[in-house]
Amino acid sequence: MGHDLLFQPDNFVAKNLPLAIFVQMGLLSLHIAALFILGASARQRQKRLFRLERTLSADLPLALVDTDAARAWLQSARMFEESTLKAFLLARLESTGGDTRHSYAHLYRELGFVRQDVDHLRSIWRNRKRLALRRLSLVAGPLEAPAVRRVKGDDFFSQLVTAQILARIGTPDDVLQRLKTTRLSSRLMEQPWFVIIRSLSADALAHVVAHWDQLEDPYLAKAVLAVAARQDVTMASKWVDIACKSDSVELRIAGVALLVATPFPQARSRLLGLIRDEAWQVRARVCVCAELTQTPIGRKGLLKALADPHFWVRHHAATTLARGGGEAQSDLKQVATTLTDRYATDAARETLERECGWHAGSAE
Amino acid sequence: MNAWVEIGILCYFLLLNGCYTILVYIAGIDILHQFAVRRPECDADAWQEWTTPPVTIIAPAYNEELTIIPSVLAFLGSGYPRLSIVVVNDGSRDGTLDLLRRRFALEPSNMVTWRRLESKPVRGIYRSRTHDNLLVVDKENGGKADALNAGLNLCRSPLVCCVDADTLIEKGALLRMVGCFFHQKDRVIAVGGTLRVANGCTIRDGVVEAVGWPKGWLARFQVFEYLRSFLFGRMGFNPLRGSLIVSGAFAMFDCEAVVKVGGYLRGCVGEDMELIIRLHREFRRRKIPYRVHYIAEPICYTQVPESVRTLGRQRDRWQRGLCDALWRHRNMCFNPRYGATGMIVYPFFLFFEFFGPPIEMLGYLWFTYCIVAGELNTEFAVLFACTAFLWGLLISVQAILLEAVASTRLFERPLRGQLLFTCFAEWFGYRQLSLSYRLRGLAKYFMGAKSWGRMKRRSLGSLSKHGPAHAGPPYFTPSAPRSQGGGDLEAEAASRVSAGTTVGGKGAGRQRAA
Repeated sequence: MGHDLLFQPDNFVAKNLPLAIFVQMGLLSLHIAALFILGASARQRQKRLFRLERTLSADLPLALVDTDAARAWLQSARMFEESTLKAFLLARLESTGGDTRHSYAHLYRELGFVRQDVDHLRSIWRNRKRLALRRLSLVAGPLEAPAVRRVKGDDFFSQLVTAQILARIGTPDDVLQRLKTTRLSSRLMEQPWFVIIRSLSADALAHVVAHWDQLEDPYLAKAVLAVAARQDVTMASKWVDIACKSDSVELRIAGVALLVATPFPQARSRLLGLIRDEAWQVRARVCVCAELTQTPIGRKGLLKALADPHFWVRHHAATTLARGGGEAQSDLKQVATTLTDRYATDAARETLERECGWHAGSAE
Repeated sequence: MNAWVEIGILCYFLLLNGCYTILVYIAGIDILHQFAVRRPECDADAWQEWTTPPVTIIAPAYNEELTIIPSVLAFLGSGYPRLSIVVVNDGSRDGTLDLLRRRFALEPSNMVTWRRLESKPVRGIYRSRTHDNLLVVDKENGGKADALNAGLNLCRSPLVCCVDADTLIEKGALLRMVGCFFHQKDRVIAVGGTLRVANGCTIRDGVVEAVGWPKGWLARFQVFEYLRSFLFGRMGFNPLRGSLIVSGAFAMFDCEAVVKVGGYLRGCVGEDMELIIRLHREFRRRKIPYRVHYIAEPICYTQVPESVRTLGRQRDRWQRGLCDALWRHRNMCFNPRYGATGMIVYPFFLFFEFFGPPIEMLGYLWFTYCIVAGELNTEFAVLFACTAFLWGLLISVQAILLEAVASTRLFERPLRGQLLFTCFAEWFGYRQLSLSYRLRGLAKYFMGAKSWGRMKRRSLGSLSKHGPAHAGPPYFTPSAPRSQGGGDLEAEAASRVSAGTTVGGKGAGRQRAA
């Protein structure tokens, strides 16, 4: 193929192929060496961890509860390599909670690891910063609050963990500021924020609820009201009107949560008003409210919802009636056997069968 | 003419390997990032939280009597706090349903389903007396996509996890995947995880107790293929909002998103890939920020074929599935409307996966022709072959390195030497074999073949002992009609729903009509 461009021995590609092979061989050797080094270091780490566990585990339970024992434990712990010791404590911090975690956090702090983590928050390496934040979410105390407050929420994860730490060690305003600047893009993202809001003290939650109107993200605004409804609905009662009349479906759902938790009869009638809401999500939430089964008007509303165009509304209405027992259940049985609306009958029958072991054939 | 063919082959070679190398480094960075954001301490919290989203596992099963019980046990023991399991018996002709009925004490239930997506008629729904979160749907055979749609109709949770009936889920895998929906800035619509080869592992009651190394060479080569394709072939696309494939063997979806785009496309061989492309397409079109995410941790195990014939059928089907899915969405290619998915990810799959096999074969043929015609510069040929071989080897070793960083499970035993030897050996025979199957798949696609082919299954408990393989009847996907008259109560109910809430069903119709 002497006439071709590439297959001539003196062309550019052919001349440089030996160099390419040389580079590839070098890279390959490096990667294989890295593979073996990685394996060896993992094994070494395991061995060191095993040795450390064997030496320190026996005294650890006492060190967690007694100051002198803790001092002695720390002294013997300092003889081990720092990274192994850190891994040992972190594994325990991750798998425990409450006072035990607090005691481990104390040992972690005494060994100077918290200081290191705070220093890592200033790192230019994003992952190092994230890992430090993760560790601080377990061990940070009020002393670290200023450092955590300075962390810029340059990515969603850092924003979330920072808020989580500040909910524990910061001021109520810190949490409020974080909530104000956070934007969620789906309902599924609410979960960790619910956990954060739920972990707030009563005062902190009251502060956040008092400034609820400053929250721009509807998902977070809903989460705040939903948590308030579960803990102390009175602190959020002034927002009921705004929430129920809002254009946002999420806020109307929050309004339903507040109304459900409000123990006044007026709340029930307002709730029944929302059973005609244009969004099925809101109507379905109303139908989940068990208290509706206790009044004839409430039961009537739920029975009407059995013929709702949306599957979930029918499903929740039927389930609430079935679980309501007594009159609610007998109303439902009546629908299941006599009503002509096929959707309502179907929802009623299926739910009665599932919830109460009732069979249409036997009733008829 | 000759020169241009050579330049073409050389450019293709450089481009392909260059892209793979880039993907390896992107995946490496992503794995480190995933380790930094992983929060094991949150797992315990999730168990107690009322806000933890419920998940439904949907497992379509057709003639899976050898694997279904361990798999369902693995689903039940997956350690997720709010879990429902829906096993869809897709008209099995073996004892799948009887086995399930006996093992889990199934009793008929007149559960009302919301027929949001079309599927073949459901013959019965059964609820387990021993596990109240287990439902079994018995329906007429309609193929995997049809069975998944039937399962989606029963799904009452915001997240749905679609799995193969022979998949073994690791404990904690679901929590890891659900975590992805919480911690990303954009809305996550699908999450895939790394699949591992179950052959050679010690399995008891659906739990992988020890990761082993398969005894058969064919399975060993596939261990590598899985490493490569999952660790960088898919994770490498994470920064571009995700790959076009999330393995149908284990994928978690935002149920609302799946229903809105019309669910799985019936009669499509590569239904998993097609769904992901459709999700990309719809979200890009509507300009909604979204993400299809891949995680590096090994989360589930699956059987791989140990006979050449079964492997051939599987690869042939995969290639047909890929071609079918890409062809259906061909107008996404180099279409700026679809952003990076249309401009980078789709063309990558088109050039390297769709056209890859014929171009590779052309390379082999050209080389042979040059040798026969005596026109080959031997020195150049040897050097070029060495470069190609070393580059490929380097990428494989990088995949092992990524695995070593992402997980230590393959390294629990001193397997590194064997792993390295296997990645060296696969170049001599296995790659060419795989290429031939992919070419066959491509040819069959152009001839319009739609069947799934016969898959040999082995009892999951026997995977480490190398017991005799059992042949299973074919998983046949009939070419389903484009639309099916609903007629039943829920279809009528759906028609009563306001337009905003039935986008799924109607969207499906539109999609199929298109």
